[in-house]
Amino acid sequence: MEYLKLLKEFKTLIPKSGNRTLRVAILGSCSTQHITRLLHVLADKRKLTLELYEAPFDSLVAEALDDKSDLYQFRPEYVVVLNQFEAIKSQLLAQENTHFVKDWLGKQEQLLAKLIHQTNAVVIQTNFIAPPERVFGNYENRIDNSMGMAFRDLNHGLLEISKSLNNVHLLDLDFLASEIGRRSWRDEKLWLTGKLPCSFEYLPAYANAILDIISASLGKVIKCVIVDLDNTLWGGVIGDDGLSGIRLSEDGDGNAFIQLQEFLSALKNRGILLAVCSKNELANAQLPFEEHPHMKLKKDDFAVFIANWEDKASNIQAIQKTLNIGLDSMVFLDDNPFERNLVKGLLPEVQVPELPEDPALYLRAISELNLFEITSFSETDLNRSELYRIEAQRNDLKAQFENLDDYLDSLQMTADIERFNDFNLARIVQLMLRSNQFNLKTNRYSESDCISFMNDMDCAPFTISLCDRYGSHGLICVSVVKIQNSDAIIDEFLMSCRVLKRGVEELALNHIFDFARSKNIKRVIGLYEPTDKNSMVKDFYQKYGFHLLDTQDNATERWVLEVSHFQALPNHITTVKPS
Amino acid sequence: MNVTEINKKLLNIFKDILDYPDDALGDHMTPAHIAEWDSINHITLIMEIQSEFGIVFTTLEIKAIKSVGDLQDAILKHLSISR
Repeated sequence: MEYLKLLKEFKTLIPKSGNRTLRVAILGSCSTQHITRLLHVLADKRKLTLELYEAPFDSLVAEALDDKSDLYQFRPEYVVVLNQFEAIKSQLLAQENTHFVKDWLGKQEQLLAKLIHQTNAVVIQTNFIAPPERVFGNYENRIDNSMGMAFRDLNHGLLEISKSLNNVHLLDLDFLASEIGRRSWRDEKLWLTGKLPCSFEYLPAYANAILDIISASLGKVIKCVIVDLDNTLWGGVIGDDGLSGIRLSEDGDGNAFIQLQEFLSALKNRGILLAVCSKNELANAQLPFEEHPHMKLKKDDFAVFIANWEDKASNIQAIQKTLNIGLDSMVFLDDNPFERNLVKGLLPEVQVPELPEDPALYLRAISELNLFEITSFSETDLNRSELYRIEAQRNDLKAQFENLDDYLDSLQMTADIERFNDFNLARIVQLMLRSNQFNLKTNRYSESDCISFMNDMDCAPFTISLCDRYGSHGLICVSVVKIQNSDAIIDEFLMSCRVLKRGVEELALNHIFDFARSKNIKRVIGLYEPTDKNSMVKDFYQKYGFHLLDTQDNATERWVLEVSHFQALPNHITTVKPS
Repeated sequence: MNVTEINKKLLNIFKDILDYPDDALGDHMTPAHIAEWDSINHITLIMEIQSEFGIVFTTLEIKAIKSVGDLQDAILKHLSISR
């Protein structure tokens, strides 16, 4: 049993030294001890070390309402709330269901709101799993006061809570249990004897579902899917079988490939980049995209299209370079075990799902891994593929110009500098999570942090959105400047790598020094904290004339520049007032 | 399977799940005698015994098991073996 295997690992677990440490509190109307042991082991596999606080059984009310509770003393960064239907069933049946549901949801929302206010933590709470018994059979859902309806209303209400409260994420446990099969998931005896939430077999899946959301909230998300072509996007080998010989059809296994293409197309519409990496002659590889009537994906759907005879690891590195995203944000789909193992061996950060031999099971195999978890979503995501394609056009133009200034001028760039506000909040939080390279402090502030900056008039939290003659880049730069001890501190400064060296850096610094001057501040201090990924900005402040003041806690460098020594930096961007 | 074999298997499960250090179990032993035998590990122990012996206890039995002797009795009963 996987549970016992993991339990043994737990007993001898020594967390990896490079792990990121997170303070996680776990509360539940079920026993949590079995899950927490697994969380420690499974988190370590994701390079996370958890400091866990386990609240007593069913103690959300007591912990949330008492300002001095152990939960609050623990100062959690994450609070995980496991809701178990069995725990509320008797109360539910004892009174008018509709009242109970309303009261329960109202109370839950209040408790979570208080908890977030008190801790600023990210909350992950589960929904309920449908109970098996139905007094009315299939008629259950037509009866307002039935338990089946109460279950539905509760789950709908839990979803609404996650929409109305910032920083509450719903773990759709009912989906997970349904996928696995609720009769296998449920273990009545374990509930009755130990208040366990599910059978032993699925405790690891439960723990992983929690970690999926935590990882995504830390910015570990998939941004690109790289696909092979022959026997992955269609059946057969285009070079051998020809256009009419490959399998892509209404029925049979040809339809499995169409279904995979439809899924990839939906991912692309969500903002995930697609890339082709195939061992083929380019003309052969492109032929189905141009001429096969059943192809769902077109050439334009792919940000990068590589078909050659090089090894796939090198090609994936080339894709990585072109798109400028981390290898750990890429998934590689290939039917061929040789290619999968090659990529796994040479590029261990890339996610490489084991595809089964029968393409009918491709979608199942990919879905089981829950690769595409996110904790926020904004308009920019939808346009991402478009942005990358426009970027390719810009690069074409770049080649024609002799010097960079001419080129930048020709782009006719305009920028909006805005204070944080309700409309750009979602994108800000997302950028804070996702930016790794041009990110000087990598604070990973949450939505509620951003709201408090927004409301603090001694703080200048601002964003820059950029447009040029080819279109909009959207919101691409975020900075938070705070006043501390009559210095202006650049506490957060990050930018999307798509717009490096266009003058946005200069524009942002000009804005920061304008702010400092307006507050009669004498010096500006920029913070830089090195990470695995942000070495590109290690000399950033030096480049603009800042001097290293000191290094705090062996980690954060403080760079200083007197306001009187700063001269506005020239750039090629016109600022416009936000509309 | 005879009683000796059952006891040997049971001992191994105790070593595995509860890090039990000695080479023999006494019928009289209860959670009070074995440090790791807490309520959480008790459930794990029961699950492992069920899976190793290929038997399924009832909820009543799980609740009633309070000592090594109780465990042996329950296993013997399910395997229809008398002491």
